[in-house]
Amino acid sequence: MSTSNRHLRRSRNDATAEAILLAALAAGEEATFVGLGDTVVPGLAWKSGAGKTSSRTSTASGANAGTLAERLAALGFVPGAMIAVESNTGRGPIIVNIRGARVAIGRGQAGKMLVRRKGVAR
Amino acid sequence: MSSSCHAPAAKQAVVRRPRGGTSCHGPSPVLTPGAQLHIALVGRPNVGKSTIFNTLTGLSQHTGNWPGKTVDLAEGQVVAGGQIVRLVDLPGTYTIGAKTQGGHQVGIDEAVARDYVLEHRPDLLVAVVSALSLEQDLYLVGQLLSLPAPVMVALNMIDVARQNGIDVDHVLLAKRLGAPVVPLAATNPDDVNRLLGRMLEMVEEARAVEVGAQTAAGRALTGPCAKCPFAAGAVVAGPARGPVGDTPDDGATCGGTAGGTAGVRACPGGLFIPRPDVADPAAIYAWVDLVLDGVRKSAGRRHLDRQVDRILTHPELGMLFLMAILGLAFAITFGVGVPLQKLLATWLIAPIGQALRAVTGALPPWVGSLLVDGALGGAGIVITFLPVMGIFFAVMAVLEDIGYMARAAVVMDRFMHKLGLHGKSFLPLFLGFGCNVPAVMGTRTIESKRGRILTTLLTPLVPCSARLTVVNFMAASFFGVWAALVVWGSIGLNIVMVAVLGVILSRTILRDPEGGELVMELPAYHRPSPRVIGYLLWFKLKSFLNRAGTVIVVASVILWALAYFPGGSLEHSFLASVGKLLEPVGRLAGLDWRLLVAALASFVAKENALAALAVVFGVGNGSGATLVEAIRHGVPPAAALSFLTLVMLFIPCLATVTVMHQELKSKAWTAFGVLMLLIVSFAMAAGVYRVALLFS
Repeated sequence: MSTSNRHLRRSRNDATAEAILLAALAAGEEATFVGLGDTVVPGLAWKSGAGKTSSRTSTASGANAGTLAERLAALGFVPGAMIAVESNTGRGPIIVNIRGARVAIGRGQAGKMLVRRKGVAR
Repeated sequence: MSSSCHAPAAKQAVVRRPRGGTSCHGPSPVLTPGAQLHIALVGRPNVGKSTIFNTLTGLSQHTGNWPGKTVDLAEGQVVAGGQIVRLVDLPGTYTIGAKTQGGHQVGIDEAVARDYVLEHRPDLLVAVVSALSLEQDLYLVGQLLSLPAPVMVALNMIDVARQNGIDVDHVLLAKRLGAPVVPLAATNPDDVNRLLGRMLEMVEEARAVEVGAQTAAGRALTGPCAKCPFAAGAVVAGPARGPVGDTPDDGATCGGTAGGTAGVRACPGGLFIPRPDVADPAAIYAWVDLVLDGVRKSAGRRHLDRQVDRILTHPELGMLFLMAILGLAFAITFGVGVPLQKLLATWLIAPIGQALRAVTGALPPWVGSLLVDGALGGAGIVITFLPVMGIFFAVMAVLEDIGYMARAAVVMDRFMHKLGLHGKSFLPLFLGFGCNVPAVMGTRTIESKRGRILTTLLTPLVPCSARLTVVNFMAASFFGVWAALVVWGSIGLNIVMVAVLGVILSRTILRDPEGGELVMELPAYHRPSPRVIGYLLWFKLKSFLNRAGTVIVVASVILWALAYFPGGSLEHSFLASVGKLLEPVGRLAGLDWRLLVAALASFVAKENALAALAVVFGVGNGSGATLVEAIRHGVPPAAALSFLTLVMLFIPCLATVTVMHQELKSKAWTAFGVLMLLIVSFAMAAGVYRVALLFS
């Protein structure tokens, strides 16, 4: 009933949708968050320029390892969370709405976040 | 309820029971003696925590180092209800940082809240949350509730939330959390004072509960209560879906606990507090959803923000807007600030100097020179730069308070990536145009350590207002019609060097595979609050005055001594000897000993380069020549260009080096930064000289 709850409720056809990268979503699309992926899954729809960061990405180690994942989780990026893409211009950060917060995510990072497309909102 | 009075900014000896707002700051925030209550503010960045803190503590706050930690805590005092309240502002944090499996900390600021509470046991934790980002804020609150301290929730930005169509039932929320919730608009001092009253009440209540019972009950409550309808752990670790509809809201079910008593966190809504060992974010968010169900009646979509951001974060339009805004900031700063600066120099500093000379006329000549050229010279620089810096930082503070700076970070992110940084580094770097000192301090907002180091190392390459003054003067007096070209060329060279060094460092010694990504919440746009802007401005100016002011005056006196003794004039001084010693090297860049001395003098404050030039070229020795004429006769254009390049890129001023050391907390990195600029500036000066010779 309340909007906060709506974000949580998992879609029934989640399992059937293919996991894609957040960077591949267009403005207005909604998706559920799947998780962080360090490696790029081949054959995914890429926007131009989105892929360049992936090649030099290595698995983080050391004291910084938890930080980014931890912050993303704190912002609401936990598996099953609803994400609405507000803007994705193909260059620069993409802006998403998650749990009422508007979050700018660098393109490189958006290329490491796996989501399942839900459909076009409004 | 309780009246508050702002403690004055006096920092004096320790007083046991100060009356009427005497402040007694100890050397560290954890050692403030005399305080009777100890309250800590916790919250995520951008929820208005600092606004509440600033409003309560006024200008009496100070930052201190927490012994054994690498973070600074802001601390201040409030005298209210006849008690001295020690208020600690914990750094903005997204989570209290559940220890990871390896046992190491999760982020620089993340574990601070938890460690602080465990080590220092505050009487009350005030969790500042924003009505605009309740879900993320409650994620933190859920974790705070598991800590052994009473928690109160300050529900901020209810005004902005209402404008956005968001309506929060704070009574129900308080019931669900088992903690008081005080709705307020932090920009309204009355609201903040009401919050203070509630804070004191709650501490009273918490103290009324027997200490033993409190800790026992607290411990018992961190786990599920046996009488609750929920099965043990159902909320804590269970699936997202819970029997929300069945949740009793009347507080009757959990009779076994001291329900409603502050300090003891009962579960009146039938909702458990996440256990401290719960580290699963999904479980905490499941709890958040249960707590919020029905609490937030309508969640606004922030339509206006989205519409505005369509333009302001657009790759091209946003960039155009950013350039226009920054151009405007510069125009205001230098259009208004520079004339003010000149007025101050003419009508304040010059008369004081004359008066000092007159007074010390009967004394040995070095006394007058010490006072006027040494002490007043340094103080004059500090004072005359205040208007320029004040205006620049006021404009920046307005942009920050409105919420625009996060959008600037989004627009610049692409470009900052090329330097191995991300958008958040843009603001500190840009602040550098005003003064490098607050700019270096501004790097704290960058999460990754390498990103912070890299930004700190690059900041001194941003030409500060003092260097812009030097380049303006030199260009105008030397290059006539070419002046504008020289000025923009110099600034351009500096920016190019920021890029070049950024690219090199980020691909070599400062590679940062993880930290280089932007993940940033966009704060809601809101009307600027003069109060908040006033504080932002005051703290930036204070940091300049505190850190740069003293250093500049002291260093100016020392420099004066080096330039005066043993011969009684600069030509026959230690400094001149050093300059002459270095001259063979300087020749590579076309610089004679006089220009080298002027460059060295700029280490104290960049502005000093001009004053030193005036001295070495004998201006004011009765020859009647102005500095412009003297330099024109004494320095060939190629050497002048070389000198400008050297000063623009030269090692940071002493105040900046001091702050770099404080922020980097590393002698090695500070030394590296200084050496790097020494080499780069001289190499570039030599290069410019050689090229200029070809054309002259």
